[in-house]
Amino acid sequence: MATKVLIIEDEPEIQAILEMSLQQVGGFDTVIANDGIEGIERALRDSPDIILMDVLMPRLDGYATCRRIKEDQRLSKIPVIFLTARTDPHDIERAMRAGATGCVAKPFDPLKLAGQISKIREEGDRGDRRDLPRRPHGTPK
Amino acid sequence: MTDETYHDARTGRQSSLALDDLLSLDRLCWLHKSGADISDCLNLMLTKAAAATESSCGAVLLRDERSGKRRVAASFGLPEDSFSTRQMREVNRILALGNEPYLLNSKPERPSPLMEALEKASAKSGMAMPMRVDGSVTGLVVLGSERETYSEQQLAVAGGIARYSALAMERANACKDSEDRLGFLETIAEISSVLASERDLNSTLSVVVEQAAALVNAESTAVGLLEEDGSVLRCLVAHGPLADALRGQTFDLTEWPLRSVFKSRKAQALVDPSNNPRLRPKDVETWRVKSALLAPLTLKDTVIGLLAAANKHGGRQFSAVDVRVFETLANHAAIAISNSRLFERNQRALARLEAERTKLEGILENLADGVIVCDADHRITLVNRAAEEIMETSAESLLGHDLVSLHPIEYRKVLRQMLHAVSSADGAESPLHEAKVEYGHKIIRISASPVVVGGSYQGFAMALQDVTAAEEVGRAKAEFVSTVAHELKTPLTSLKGSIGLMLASAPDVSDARFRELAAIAQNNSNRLIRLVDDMMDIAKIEAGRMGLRVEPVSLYECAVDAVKDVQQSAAEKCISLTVRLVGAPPLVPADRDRVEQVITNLLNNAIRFSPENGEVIVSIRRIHGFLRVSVQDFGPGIPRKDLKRVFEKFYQVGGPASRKAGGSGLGLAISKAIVEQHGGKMYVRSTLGHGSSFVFTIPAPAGNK
Ligand SMILES: Nc1ncnc2c1ncn2[C@@H]1O[C@H](COP(=O)(O)OP(=O)(O)OP(=O)(O)O)[C@@H](O)[C@H]1O
Ligand SMILES: [Mg+2]
Repeated sequence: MATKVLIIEDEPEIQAILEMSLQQVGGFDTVIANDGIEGIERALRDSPDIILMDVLMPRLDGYATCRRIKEDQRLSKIPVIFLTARTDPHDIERAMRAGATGCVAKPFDPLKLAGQISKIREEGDRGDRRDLPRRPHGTPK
Repeated sequence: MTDETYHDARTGRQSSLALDDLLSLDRLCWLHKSGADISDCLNLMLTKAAAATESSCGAVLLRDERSGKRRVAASFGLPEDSFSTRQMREVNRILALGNEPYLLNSKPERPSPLMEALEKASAKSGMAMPMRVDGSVTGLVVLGSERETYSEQQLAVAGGIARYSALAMERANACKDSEDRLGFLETIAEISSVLASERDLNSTLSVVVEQAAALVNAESTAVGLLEEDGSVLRCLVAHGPLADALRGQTFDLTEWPLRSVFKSRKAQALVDPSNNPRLRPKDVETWRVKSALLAPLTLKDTVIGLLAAANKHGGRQFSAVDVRVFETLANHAAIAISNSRLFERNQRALARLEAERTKLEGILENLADGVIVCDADHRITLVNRAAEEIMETSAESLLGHDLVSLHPIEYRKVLRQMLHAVSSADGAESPLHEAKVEYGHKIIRISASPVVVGGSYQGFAMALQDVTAAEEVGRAKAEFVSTVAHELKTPLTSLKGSIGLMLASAPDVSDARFRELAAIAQNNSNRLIRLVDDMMDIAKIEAGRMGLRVEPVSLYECAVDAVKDVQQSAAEKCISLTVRLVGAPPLVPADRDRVEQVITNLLNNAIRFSPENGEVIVSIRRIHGFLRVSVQDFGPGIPRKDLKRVFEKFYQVGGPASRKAGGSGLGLAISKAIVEQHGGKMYVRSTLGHGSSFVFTIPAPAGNK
């Protein structure tokens, strides 16, 4: 059965790229929400297997959205992965406190990200996935 | 200043204080001659001696003039039958030993009957002091105390009291004329007060010569002290008609009559010394007097000078009693002189300290940084003006208070931790510890370092710096960085994502030119991303806001991951990458991502500067409290003059023109800052033409396995 991924992200281009990468890797269904409020609605309606979440969004930001999801018994089991431009220790700490499973630094390699999502699905949600945020310094020249 | 002199001076002062008491004793002896009972006098003396030495019982054992036998002339705190023949035999034994005060103790192998007598009155320690003037024994004073032992000082005081009692009794017998006797008493009173007071050497010497003149009824008196090298005696202060001739004059110790006084260490009276055949002709004029008294000034077996008195022709001749009195005065004068010297030395030291303190205070007061000094219990002992301003309060309300409790509650824990670290830091660690706290609207950086005197921890000194302004700038910068991060990274995410997808679907596209161009776009977007990241890192470093996420980290795993990161670019140049582990290095507290970033930076450089088919070696080993990581290549090396500068931001050897190798010159600056933030160091070793070794260390606290 395909993995249902809810993408909560306000940039249409990034939405598109995420959708396409997941398609490329295969085995994913995607649902898109443009901000936190909409994200929670879609989550309740579509019961996704995993959520990819932007941080800076209109109406409700990523941290608050994540906290609400984690407080809602119907949603709290869904792993949430943050996609964030800020990966300083205290930013990551904040995401983790909000209940995130992991953080991925923007700009990310979309295909790698799709692979990571599959892996999380396979292994099941082990909770804290601090190993996820890799700095982009490994990028070869 | 040796301990001995100090001790001696102390003892001297103690015994001189007791001297005051003796004056009343002497007066009583005089009363006795005019009818009072001698046992009243002796009882008084005993009471005084007991008070001065914290004794609980005691007795005076005198020889009865008629029977020649010893008897108890006075006692207190002891049963009447305390002293039998056994005790009296011990009295004789002690008197045969000499003039010094004597500690009594009863050992099973050698019992002391006197001590046994004292023990019956529940004394635990005892002492006996001979009363003797000039070889003739008057008696023995015995004292007992409930304390475990008598101190050296108490012993000396009691010895002095006994000697003076003997002298006083003798004097009472010798002086027929009551006015004469009164004069003697007054003189002793004055001298004793000089001995007890702290004054400079010159005024002490003046009192000594004046009083010496009164005491032995001499026309001229003088005091001379040995010069530093001990070979010459110089007359410092003199009194009477011969004063002008004597003052400043020096005397040879190896010539008569000084030689014999210094050798015997006894006072002497000379009659007609200028006619003495032993006198050198050149000294005849000096000694043209009728009679002279010379007494050595002795301190703990060392002669420090001479007290002299003289009467001119036609004047009085000195008596045997004068010699004894003079010698006693000389003994006390010596102590007074040593006291004065000590006093002067202390005054000089104090003045020096005071000057030093004033200077330091001036510096402290004018310092822009606040300074607070605390004792080991965190109580404030010193505050400068800047500190008052920063804490917005007065020194009075800070001094003596606990430093930690003056701070807002939320900072107390941080402060306590810092202060604990300060007080337990050993020499190997950097002794400076920092914390940032807020007072109202101000942000204060506190740096503390221990105050260690002679190896023992006395407290700590803190510098307070108002960093509010700098902190505001830092906050604004951080705000800016985070905005830029978002603004730049959003388009970069789209760019990177779409190129990645384009290339991933490239197998479907047969156009080679398209694929080549897409690869170029990918390379450059990656480069741009790296540049943005680096610029942001630099901005964070400069704003002092690069936070670390510290956890136990295996540097070996970091190195292996870093090698994976650069594997592809190494493979392109056929460079072999090796990670060497020396020993079994422990985990260290570090930010894993940041340390990996450092190693990746060093590896990227090493690969870039290595020839094709080259080799790059990463090695990790433990050295004195640190893990040391080196990244070695066999490339062109770095010219000596550039070795330091490669760590500057944007610096590239040969200037930006030589950028063919790529890069922006930020990697090493960032790496070094990251390492330093961890408490480590980064440096480079390089031989031109042979390669470079970039090395960094990360503290590995003992106990981390
Ligand atoms: N292994 C090395 N061998 C020779 N020169 C080196 C080596 N490593 C660094 N350097 C010199 O030091 C300079 C600064 O290095 P640094 O890593 O800071 O910047 P960069 O590599 O030029 O750019 P960036 O790391 O920001 O991409 C380099 O440009 C180079 O001249
Ligand atoms: Mg570099």
